[in-house]
Amino acid sequence: MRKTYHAYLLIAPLMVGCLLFYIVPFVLILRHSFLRGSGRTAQFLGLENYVEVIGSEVFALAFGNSMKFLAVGLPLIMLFSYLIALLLQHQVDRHKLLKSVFLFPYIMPVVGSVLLINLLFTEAGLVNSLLSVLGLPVQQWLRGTHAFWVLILLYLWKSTGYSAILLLAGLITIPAEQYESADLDGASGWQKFRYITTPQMWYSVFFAAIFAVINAFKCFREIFLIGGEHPVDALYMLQHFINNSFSNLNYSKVAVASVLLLVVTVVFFGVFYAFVSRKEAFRE
Amino acid sequence: MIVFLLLVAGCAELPSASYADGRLESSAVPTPSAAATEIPESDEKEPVVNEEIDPNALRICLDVGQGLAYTERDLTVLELKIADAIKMADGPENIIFDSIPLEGSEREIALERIRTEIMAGEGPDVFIMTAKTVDALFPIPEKAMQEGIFLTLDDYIQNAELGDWDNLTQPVLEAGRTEEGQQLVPMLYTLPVTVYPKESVPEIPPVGTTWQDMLADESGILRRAALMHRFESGGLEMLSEDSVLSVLGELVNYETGEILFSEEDLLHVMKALLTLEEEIDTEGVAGLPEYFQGRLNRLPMLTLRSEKVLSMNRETPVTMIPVYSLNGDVLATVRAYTGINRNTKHPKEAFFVVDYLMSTQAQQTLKLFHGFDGLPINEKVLSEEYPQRDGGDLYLIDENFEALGNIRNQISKVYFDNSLLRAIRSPYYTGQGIQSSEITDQTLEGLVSETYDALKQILGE
Repeated sequence: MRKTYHAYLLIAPLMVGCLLFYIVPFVLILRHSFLRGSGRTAQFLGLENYVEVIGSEVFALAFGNSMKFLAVGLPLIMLFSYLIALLLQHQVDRHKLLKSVFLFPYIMPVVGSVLLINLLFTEAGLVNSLLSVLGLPVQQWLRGTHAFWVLILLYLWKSTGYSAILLLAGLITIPAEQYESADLDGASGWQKFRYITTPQMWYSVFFAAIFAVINAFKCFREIFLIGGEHPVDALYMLQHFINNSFSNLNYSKVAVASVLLLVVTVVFFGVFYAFVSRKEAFRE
Repeated sequence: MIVFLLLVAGCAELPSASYADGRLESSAVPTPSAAATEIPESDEKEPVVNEEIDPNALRICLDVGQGLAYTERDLTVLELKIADAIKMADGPENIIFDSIPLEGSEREIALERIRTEIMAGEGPDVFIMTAKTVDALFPIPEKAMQEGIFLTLDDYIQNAELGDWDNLTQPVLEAGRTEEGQQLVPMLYTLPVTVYPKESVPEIPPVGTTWQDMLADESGILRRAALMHRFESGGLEMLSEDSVLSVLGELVNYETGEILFSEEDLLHVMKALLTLEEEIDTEGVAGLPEYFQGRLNRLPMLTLRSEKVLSMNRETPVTMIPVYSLNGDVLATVRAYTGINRNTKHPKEAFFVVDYLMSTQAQQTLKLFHGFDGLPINEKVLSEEYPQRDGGDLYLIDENFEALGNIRNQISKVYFDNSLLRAIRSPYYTGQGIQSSEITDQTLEGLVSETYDALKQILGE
């Protein structure tokens, strides 16, 4: 009993912080999503705001683009970062500097990233110069549908290293003896990956995926600086919708969009977590 | 739980617009300044700042653009004059001004603070705003009206004592009305006009004239008035981009969230205006009577005693011709407005301020009405009987006041100047660059398509 009391005491500051700074604001946002106006004159509208936002073409565009960005970016970043982590798995102690180098793009200031994108992809940028030299037609990379892929590239460049480090942290906890035993048994590389690495990596993959999603949302800073408040349709993300709606004092839309975003991500990660838990249960 | 917290933490990283601009650095929050009962002896005096905000005070949020105040000190003087005028009219004495700084990061911080306060059901009691198209507290006032931010004023207007509500330009007043009732009250508005001496152009075209009719005018008089063109004399650069709005006429329905013109319409208007501009540049003005073009405010109406436009002066009878739309509408733009926070704890005192602002006396004397680009909504003002007073009497001679009445009577569409209108008209200059081949990496079709996409985004947010 005393131990439990101590435990609660220790986590109390964190829980109070969570309650004050996350749970209470979220409840307020949830409340706002059912209202029109604010304060004591707010009117309860039920699900009207949800119906309006879900039926909105602009929300659909923003939501669709954000989900497309995650649907394309997340698998790619997980694939590349896993490959890099696997390559580094047995080199960790030999190339310590390499880990830091992978984090350089991640810690680069937003303005630096944007300058780099402009240097490469504007009309007179290096990519178009190269295309001209090769006799190929130049493209408007930051306009139209190309812009989306430029952003995916930016996301991969910035965040792959970070995800790789997270996965690497998981990989190095796998005892080397297991691989040595497998070698003695004549297991191939693929078999070692499938039967030793993968089953022990689910939690790491799960957390790497969470951070990859967080980093995808962070990419909005670059998107905003490249495309402005109202970029071409291909770059119009949920954060544009939420930010601009707040500037327009359209609080109900802000609230509804935030709640829907949270619901979708929690459902996605809930399902993913259930899958991972089941996989990990086999281990235990 | 951990997943939830991580996700929320990720979302918390979403930058505000100001952050993305790299401007959200300071944590300094400007405090509202108390309207001192004493007007400073000179403009040199530092602004009065009261750190303790009296919760019983009436809080007025003032956001004025360049023209009314160029420095923070100008702003303070303006606040004091407004407070003084309200007190002189036996209005509330306990007034605090929460003016939005004119520019810089302090402005951004103040905007975010007031928006957050409004979201929390607090905020200033009264808003006195010049319609800004960038960095405005209400980027689109019409949308803010739909969101239930402002107090419905109908009951108060019925019992108004100071305001000359029956003499306000009704189509302009209607722009501040929603299904719920009057939410905002326009104070000043403009519309693009061409001013000819009456001896050359005796009459304004009849209601129903369209832009096509103007283009087809063989005398060239209406054709020339169909486009606000660069006009160097008098030191004014005329706003040809205004013509885009005027020619389109019907722009948007905020209640249904619809843009009332198609992408093809916008492209057609842009092309037609650019072509007309090129033709006018080539043709020159030979054979036309002298004229003046600009936004309908005091200057083109020749109210300034010392002002002389070409050979016209205040005594010259004039005819004012608006830009008619494709459907024959005449479009006016609200440039300043006032409204009351729906959550105000002092609705009567707040309405006193609004009511006072609608009085003939206020519109004659307050700098808010004669120091800024726009025509007062009170239709009596600027006549010989009710001149504006700005170091001297500003008025129109009877004949010209009648001409002003004629053009007022033709106003049929009114919008608040806002970020959406800016998004419609501002690509016109890029269009000029494309037309003159100064811009080669973009087409007019591409520009219009991007503009239209942005309009849909702005309207849907």
